[in-house]
Amino acid sequence: MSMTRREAAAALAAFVLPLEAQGPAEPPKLGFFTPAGAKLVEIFANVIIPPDEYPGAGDAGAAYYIDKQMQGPLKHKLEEWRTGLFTFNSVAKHQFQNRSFLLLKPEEQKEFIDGIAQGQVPALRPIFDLMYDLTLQGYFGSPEHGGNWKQASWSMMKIEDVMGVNDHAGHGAKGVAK
Amino acid sequence: MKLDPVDAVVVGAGAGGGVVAYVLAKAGLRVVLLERGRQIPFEESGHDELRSQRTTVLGNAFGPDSEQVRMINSPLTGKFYKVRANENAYNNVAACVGGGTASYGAMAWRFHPKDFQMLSTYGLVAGSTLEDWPITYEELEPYYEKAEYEIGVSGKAGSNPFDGPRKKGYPMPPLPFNKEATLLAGAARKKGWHPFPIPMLINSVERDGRAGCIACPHCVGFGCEVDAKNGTQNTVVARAVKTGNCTLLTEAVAKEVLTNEQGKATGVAYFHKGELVEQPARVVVVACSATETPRLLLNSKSKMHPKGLGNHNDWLGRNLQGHAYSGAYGLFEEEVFDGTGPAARVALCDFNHGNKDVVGGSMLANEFIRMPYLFARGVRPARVPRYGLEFKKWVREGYKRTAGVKGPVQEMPLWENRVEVDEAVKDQWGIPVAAITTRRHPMDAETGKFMAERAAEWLKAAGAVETWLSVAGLGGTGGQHQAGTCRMGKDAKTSVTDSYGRLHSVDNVYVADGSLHVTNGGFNPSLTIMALGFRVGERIARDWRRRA
Repeated sequence: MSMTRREAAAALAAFVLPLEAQGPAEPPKLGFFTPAGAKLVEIFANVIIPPDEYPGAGDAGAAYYIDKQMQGPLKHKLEEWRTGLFTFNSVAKHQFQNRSFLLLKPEEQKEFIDGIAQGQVPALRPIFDLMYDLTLQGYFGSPEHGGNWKQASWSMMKIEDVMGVNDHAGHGAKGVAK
Repeated sequence: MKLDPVDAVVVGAGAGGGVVAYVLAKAGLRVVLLERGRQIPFEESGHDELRSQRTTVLGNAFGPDSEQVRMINSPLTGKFYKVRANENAYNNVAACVGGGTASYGAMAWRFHPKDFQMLSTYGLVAGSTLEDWPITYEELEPYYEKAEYEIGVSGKAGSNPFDGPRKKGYPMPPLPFNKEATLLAGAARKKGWHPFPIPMLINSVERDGRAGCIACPHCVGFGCEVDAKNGTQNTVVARAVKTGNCTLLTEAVAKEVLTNEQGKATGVAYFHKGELVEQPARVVVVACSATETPRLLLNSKSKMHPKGLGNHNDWLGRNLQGHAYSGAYGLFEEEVFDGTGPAARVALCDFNHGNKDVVGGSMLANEFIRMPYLFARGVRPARVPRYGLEFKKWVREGYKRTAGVKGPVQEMPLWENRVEVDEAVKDQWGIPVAAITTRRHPMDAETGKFMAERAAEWLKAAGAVETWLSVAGLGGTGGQHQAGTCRMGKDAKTSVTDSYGRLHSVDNVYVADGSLHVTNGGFNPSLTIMALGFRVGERIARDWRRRA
């Protein structure tokens, strides 16, 4: 409930997202992720949506989205998340001669993730699907939720003028009737 | 706590219950309108895709809270599993004043005359409980008109040649076409089809002290920032309260309909702020949606009604239907997105009936504006991978060049599709939760494929350089357009209520929501639920006057 009220208050206070909600100048503090956990998510998210002239999903705060939501509305997913990541790390180690995922070369990391996506490791399919979905949520959802820093996806899609706006009327939406 | 008696208790302030409460209060009955949710002001729900009515990954902006659960029979395993209220399989329709109408897309469809006579039109369909409605389009027509005027519809009468006859035009002119609709309408006309502006429960001009639509892109799934969208919360419910005869009580969770030794209803027991309250009443109206209505009635067991209220023949909760939404997407050379809402603006009804080798069909319309997350999740041709640079490039270049056309394809009702209650799984008030089983009839996929192909044909005619189909699967149904679980009928052996929504087995309990639908039409169902609400309400008021 406090979540709802806080968001409601935020929406009331500023109809357009305030600058700080568009993405932090410096990464905010992590709640439950360790830096290593956050790094893993960042790598994963950058495979799902890699950087080009627009930031990748990892660079745009996917880990911070997940970190924030896992302490809020997605709390019930925490167990699934932890178990999934443990398995993810274990399988990676097994596959790459005891080297942990974070220490693999970028192309090895991508190869590992591609393998899961292609169904080569059925046990990792559930965590892949969860991380995939959360990555898209973080990247395409409102920056208020911790991801999509500086409206990266909206600016890439050229819809930043309409998406984060709670007051189209005040922003000159094309009225058909007043 | 037991309260003083009132004339009528209405459970549920959505499309049906809000209307009934209004009709009864206006007729002079003292009414208590119970709503499990709250009023949701726009300032609270806002324009947040991840907490909207369409995408509920971070919660339902319009309720219920994510801790509410149901048991769902998995189409994959055939076993029941627990589903939270913000997960798709839950079949949520919102829990707030206005119900689904507080955040709906607000299409204002009258069903086609043949939608009321599916059995007569198509004959028996193996495996389905397909049946005619006990009332015809003509009998419902005056109530459609009431809904259009009392709640407020914009549209262009006479623009759809397949419409059933209507006595009056719409109270407001239609919303204008956007870029997509203009393109599609021209293409349809060239094909000899009959495109027209979709009638909407949205003000195209200022009406009743509320603004006209400002064409903002956040429409379906959101509340309206200028309150131009007409739901029951800002029309009939507000007016019911204004009569002075209706008390709207929010956050009141109905536990059961109470009955006496003779089996007649005596009122409703509900929880409010942790307390169990009994509200005695002469008439009870249940309007909680096609999943929550059977749940409440099944939970209202007594000596006279051992299988639940209205369940004398085991038909209560059965024939749950939704829509087998099918359609196509098209990629255009140029941008077709112009950022103006509600975006769903053009439709045609050339394929609602008379389609070769299939049963029924649907209207086809262009889509509401797709929000970014939903687009990224689900809209791309098969050649585009689901992640990586190519995927990212697709989202960037495809978003504004993609249009969608789809339709709410009629489903064949199935006896096996049902809402039960699971006595072993209870909510926070100790009330057994709904347990839902739904599958689709193979015909639904056939009809869906036929409609998807027509949608693709339409998009191609409009200049799409690439199209791909989206056909409903054979898994679960129900969802936002849930219907059918308290079937109306003339024969008490094969239906739950009479043609006025009154339970066959209890003469002072009525149902007034999508549960009554015998079949669910090839259209969004809100206006039909509202029209039925007017009809049920007037019947109760008429009987009341006669008795008084």
